[in-house]
Amino acid sequence: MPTILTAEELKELVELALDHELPDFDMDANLYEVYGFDSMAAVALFVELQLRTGVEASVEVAPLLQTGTQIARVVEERTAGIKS
Amino acid sequence: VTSIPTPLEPEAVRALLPYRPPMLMIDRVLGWSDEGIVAEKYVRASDPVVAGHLIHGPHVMPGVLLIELVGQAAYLHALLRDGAAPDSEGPPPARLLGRCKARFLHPAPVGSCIVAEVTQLGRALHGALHHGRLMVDDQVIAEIEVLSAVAAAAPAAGGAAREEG
Repeated sequence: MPTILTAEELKELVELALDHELPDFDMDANLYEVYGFDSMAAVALFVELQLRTGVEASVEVAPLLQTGTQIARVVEERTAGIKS
Repeated sequence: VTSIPTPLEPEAVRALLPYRPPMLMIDRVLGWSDEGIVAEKYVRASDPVVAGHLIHGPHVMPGVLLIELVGQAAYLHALLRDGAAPDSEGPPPARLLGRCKARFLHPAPVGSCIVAEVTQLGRALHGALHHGRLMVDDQVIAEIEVLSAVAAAAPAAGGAAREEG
């Protein structure tokens, strides 16, 4: 059964990574350009993502995941057994 | 991967960590595994960071340096886990603390030995999240969580590494 991350769950992950709440969250917005992600926020996000879903984003793949939609898609694919 | 004998005595710790007194917070390592590391720190009155802290007493380890202790243990754990050896060529990659959560429960007085049990909660990219449980005489004195990452390891276009530590 694939894991489907909702926009609300992604928002919560991003808020946790940024360590502050967001008034709203756009799944297609670039985390680095719109929400001010830096390397430490990215580490926080992907550690938390791994703890919650078991999905590990490699050093090669993680930099390509820059929006909520992209992250949700990879989580869905990986938990469904599809290699991306 | 070079195997690292445990425990690590002070000389081995110094060979791995790019810190020296008074900023070196780890005296020795009792043991480590892929999951975590256990380190010791003695609180000495002669240590300048202790001597200069609350000069009228009580003479205790500064709480903020307990965060540094966990950060250095996490750093050392990352080096050991990734196969660093004291005789490796070149300095280890610097790691910076990004954020922390700390609860200070009891002071660590002069003369005490702090045992830091630091467990890796997760790792991603060039960083990791560690949880530290600090004890003196089997009493938990602090619980500290630190997020750290290799310096200047920007993971993505548009993402900049923090210049803080």
